[in-house]
Amino acid sequence: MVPTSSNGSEGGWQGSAASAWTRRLLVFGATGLSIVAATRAMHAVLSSGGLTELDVVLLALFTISFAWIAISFWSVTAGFFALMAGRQTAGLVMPAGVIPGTEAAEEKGPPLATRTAILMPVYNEDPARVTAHLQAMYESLAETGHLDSFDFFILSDSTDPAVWVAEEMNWLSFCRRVGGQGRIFYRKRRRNTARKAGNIADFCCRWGCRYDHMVVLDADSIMAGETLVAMARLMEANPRAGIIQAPPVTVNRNTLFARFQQFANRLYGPVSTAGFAFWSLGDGNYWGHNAIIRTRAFIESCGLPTLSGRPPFGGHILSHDFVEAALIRRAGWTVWLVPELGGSYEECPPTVIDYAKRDRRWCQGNLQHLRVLPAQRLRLLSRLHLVMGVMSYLASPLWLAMIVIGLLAAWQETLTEPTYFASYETLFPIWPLIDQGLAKSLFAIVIGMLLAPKLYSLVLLLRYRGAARRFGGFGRATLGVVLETVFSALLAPIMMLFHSGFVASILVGRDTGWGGQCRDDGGIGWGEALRRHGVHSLIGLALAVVSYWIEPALLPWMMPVVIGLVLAVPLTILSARQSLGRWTRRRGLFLIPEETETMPVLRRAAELADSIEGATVSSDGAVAAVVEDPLVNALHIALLPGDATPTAAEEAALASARLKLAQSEGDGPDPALLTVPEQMAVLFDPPTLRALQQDRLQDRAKAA
Amino acid sequence: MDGVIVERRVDSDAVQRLRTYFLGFGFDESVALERLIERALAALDPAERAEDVVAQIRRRVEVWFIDSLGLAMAASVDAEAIGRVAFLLSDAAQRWPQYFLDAEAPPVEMIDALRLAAPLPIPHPAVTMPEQNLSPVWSLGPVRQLLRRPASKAPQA
Repeated sequence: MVPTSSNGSEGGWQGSAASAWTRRLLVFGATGLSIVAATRAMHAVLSSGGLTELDVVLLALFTISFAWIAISFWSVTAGFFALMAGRQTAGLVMPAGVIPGTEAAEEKGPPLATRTAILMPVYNEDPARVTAHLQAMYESLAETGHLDSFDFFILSDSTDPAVWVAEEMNWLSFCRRVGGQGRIFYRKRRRNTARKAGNIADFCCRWGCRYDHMVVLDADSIMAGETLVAMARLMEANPRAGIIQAPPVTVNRNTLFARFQQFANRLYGPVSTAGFAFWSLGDGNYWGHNAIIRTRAFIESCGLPTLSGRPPFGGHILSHDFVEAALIRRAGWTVWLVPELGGSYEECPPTVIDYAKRDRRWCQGNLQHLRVLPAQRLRLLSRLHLVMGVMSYLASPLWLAMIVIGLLAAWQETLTEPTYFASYETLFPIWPLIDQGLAKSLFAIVIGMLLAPKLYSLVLLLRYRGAARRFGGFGRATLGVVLETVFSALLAPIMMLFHSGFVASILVGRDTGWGGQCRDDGGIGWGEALRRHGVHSLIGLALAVVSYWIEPALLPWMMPVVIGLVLAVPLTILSARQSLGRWTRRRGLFLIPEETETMPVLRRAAELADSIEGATVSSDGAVAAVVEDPLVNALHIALLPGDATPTAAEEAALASARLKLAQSEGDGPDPALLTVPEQMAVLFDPPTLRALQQDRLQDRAKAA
Repeated sequence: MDGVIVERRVDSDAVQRLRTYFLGFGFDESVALERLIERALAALDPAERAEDVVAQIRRRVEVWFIDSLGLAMAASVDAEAIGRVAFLLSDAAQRWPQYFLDAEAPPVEMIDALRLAAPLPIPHPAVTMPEQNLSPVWSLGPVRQLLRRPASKAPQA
């Protein structure tokens, strides 16, 4: 049941329904008008010599693609004006001093009346790094004086036995370092059904009733204590809020590629999120992490079904976040994006290749939303969020199709004899002239709309005192924008081909699986770059040759696409270099406030990541680690959830493991002989682990 | 000397197994270990076979931890493992060796230390998340419900 306040409204959300209509009418009305105007202009350009079938297709593709650009542009424009006016998120009750960084927020404030669980789902991540991030958050919360209102959970779905055991050892060290016993928990699932969504659902079923809210993180998330407290206060002040999303800022990476991403996210992100918040209000979206969720609302309304059919479109819902937001909204709870909430961080992939790998997963998850899109009783704006997610990936094949059809249309033009004399009586011949001025204007407008967020962001740097300094000064920020624009223009056609390939492979039914995400600043070698981008560069060259062959004047128009594709290999290699990234930092380029100012929680996380000597387990040493050390043995057995019964395959693996251990020659059972499924089976079986440890202790006693 | 006393009462293999078992609790010091074994065996039937002796002691250990840590009696709660973690983390084998499995109640500071160090057992799922309906609008679910409703209301009428 969704609570209502005495006046039937919640934080002015119902009361501001008229305002919501006005805001949405402004953004979507302007979008609609722009689409009509641009389509008419494009029609005029294309129909100079009469519309062919190819022209009609081209016009349709242009209209869809332009709609995508237009909605982003008008949303960002709304965000720009909201930020220029210094307006806060409307419709949400914001108690005084709740927003971090404001003067009123300096005080501790009254105690929180609710309890919040902070959830860190992990899947084969570096355990020491995860606990370093969590410890920084834990200490940051302790400084707010509200630590007692929060508990921490590491929710493991790791499939690597060595990572699993290392997670337990690092969790224990973390608890001992901060004295967090009884406040920091670790849980490993026997089977990672439904991936992250299933992991969170498992938490809800076991512990959910004990907490009013849960903050869901990603393995690379860091959040400041004051932000966590602010989010809990916002939930308390807005009893109908189901989800409050804090926009995460990307930080901590050093490769050139990552620094481009961080800079763009930090500089252009605010205008984009402000725009989104301007029109979405309580119909917002959830991005899967760095958000606070009302646990009861989530339990009641976000149980995800398994979609019929096989992956990639059937099976478990991969990108669960958008769907959960839509479901919680359907149940009457509100979903908010609050741009004012700072202190919310994540890390971005370090290289183009890692970025593309992540996009492959996201692409599949977003395309799967096509199955959810027509679900009954979803709110219109929830459907729009789903469409926008789908379009983030479909835009690429649409663009590619426009290029191909544009070339075909141009080729067709060269093969067709112009008709100078009409069938009706006329004094003058018909000259098949393309309105060059209109075509160039349309092109300029589209480019202008694409560049608008960057320009708005620079204007905002001038609007707020000290803002430019946080980005290394206005001159450097402007230079950064120019360089980032060039880089993203070169990268765009590469991502277009990546995304088009992803969409095609998903449409033919290829499943991506579930791989871990790269969290390190690694480099890319020539071999891998050639393997990944060789085809892209060949396509770029082919595009140049074909364009020139059709019409030499066409080539300059194609050059932005051609150059990016031809340079894909060196672009990926160079942008993956840490040395270049660090060089730009030394030169004051692509700086973000998190680098020019001290963010205590980030600084502490970095210190801990460097100083903690995390427990590690060799790849085949998980069972041995649990057998050798009595504490690790006891800890591991104590942390096993006692309610998951083994499958037939797991029992077979256990039997096989026992046989191998019994047949081991030499000093005793050798766990290194076990396969990964056998190791997992043994690690889930306390009697075997106890027996192995007794053998080992007996050997030790004899030796002593 | 203590070892001789013990071996008079039960099979030497059982004693050896118990010795190994208690090593897992951090009883590295031989005098404390032998005294513990003697204490543990005091209430047992000397005729028990080695496996049974260890099993009986394990049950006693579990009960001791359930009492000392205030754990709930549940089949899924591995009181022995949780207690062993607490015992090892609080260094109880060195600090309070004489109170483990003793009839006398352990001192408050030992209980506090054990409880502070004990990991909390993972609870069983207490609720389920109802699966949400994502049927498409064209599946006519609401229409079907509408058609079904009069029939279900008929008895009340």
